[in-house]
Amino acid sequence: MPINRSRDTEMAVTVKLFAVYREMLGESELRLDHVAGRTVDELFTYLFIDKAPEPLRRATLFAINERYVRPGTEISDGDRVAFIPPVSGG
Amino acid sequence: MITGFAVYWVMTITTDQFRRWSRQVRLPQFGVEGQEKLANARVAIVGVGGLGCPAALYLAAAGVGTLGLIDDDVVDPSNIQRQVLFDENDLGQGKVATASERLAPLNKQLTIIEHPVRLTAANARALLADYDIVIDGNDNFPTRYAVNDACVLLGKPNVYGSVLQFEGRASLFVPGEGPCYRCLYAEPPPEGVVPNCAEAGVLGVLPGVIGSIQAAEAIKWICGIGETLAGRLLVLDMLAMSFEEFQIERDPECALCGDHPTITEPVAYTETCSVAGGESWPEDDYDLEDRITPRLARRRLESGENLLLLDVREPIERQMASIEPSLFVPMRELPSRVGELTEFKDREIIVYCHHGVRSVVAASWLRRNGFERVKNLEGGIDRWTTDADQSIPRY
Repeated sequence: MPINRSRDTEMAVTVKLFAVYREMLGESELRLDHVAGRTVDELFTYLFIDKAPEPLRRATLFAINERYVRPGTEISDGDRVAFIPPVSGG
Repeated sequence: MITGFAVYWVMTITTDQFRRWSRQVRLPQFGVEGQEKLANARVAIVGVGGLGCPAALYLAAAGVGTLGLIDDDVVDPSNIQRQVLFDENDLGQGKVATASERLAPLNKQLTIIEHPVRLTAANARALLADYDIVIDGNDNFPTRYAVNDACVLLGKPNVYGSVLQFEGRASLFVPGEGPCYRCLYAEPPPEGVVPNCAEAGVLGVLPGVIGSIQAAEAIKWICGIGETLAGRLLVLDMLAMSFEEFQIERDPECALCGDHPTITEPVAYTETCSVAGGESWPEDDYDLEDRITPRLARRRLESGENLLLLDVREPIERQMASIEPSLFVPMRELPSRVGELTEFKDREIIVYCHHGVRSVVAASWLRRNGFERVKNLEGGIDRWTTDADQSIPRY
């Protein structure tokens, strides 16, 4: 099944976007169906496919349910996924 | 009735001093002991900017004994919106000396050590060696990594803070107790991928909040009170005014603090995307396949070469200043308006923005979309105004 916008089922995965990712996708949060079983980096590449995702993906901190996870970690139904890019401003 | 606490207090500080620090000494968790720990503490502040100014103010006000200020920059008009130690009379003055003047009257017992230098991978260890804890308030990735590397190698806690637009981050990296910055972000992002404050802007009060959080974490660590941000990454969304917290942990594969570290000296990264005001650029000019410096670009334009300048900034920026003649297509409209560029496909195109960061992204996008001769204008219009044509207003 392709990933698509959720109609707010319990299984929907929430994706929280931070910093430049909000601007790039025009939203701060997405709710998606048919994500479970994919890895965090696969989901990232899917969402940013037209935005040259490779260098971004390598520089991204991934979290599931507010906990840092390594790339390659699988997403489950109902998870809250976060993509946190580095920012350096001071 | 004299309690043990009161006896201890009478023996260690005078009544005047008690009154001086009374509002925090009367906190049972803090007490006289906390005040003495602060008085004996040596705190380094790397970057006396949006984060470093409020952090330094609160640490000086709280009674920290020694503050080391590290920054090679001078005060620029664009700083004053958030760098609260500086005012309009300080333009062009060194940040460290100016900050030192403002901080000194806050506490006559305060010792300020001025380091008006840029912290680099080469000098980081020597600069930070004599301090107990480091506040990382700098504004660029090479310095962030140099601070992090040096802190881990020296075994010193690093109070991390960063800001961009409306979003702030804070954490405390304590070697041996939790992750370091490299556990989160193993390497700096490639050139042009992540914008800086000069490019993307920052709400002035945001570093005020994050810098204050850094000061609070430093005070808690020094006094050994409360739950610090060690093992937690705090993310503030100031537009929504919501704080989120992420659990973070040491990466056993971290090249710096992992089980088999390969980094034994701070790693030097080159700064490719610079920030406004006082940044140094390489003196050498170059004209390479994918990039060109403003001086050489102007020379080639004046010699009559058929180059096309493409401005990918926002309309409001173009109103402030522009390099003419140039074609104007804001970066976000580039994919939909690329057809307008088709007639220039065989010409050499030089893409520019404010500081040369967005234009790197635009230039690489154009190359991927069939434009073969595309160069980035290094340092953008900002460097153009300093190096190639000073008659253009700098913003």
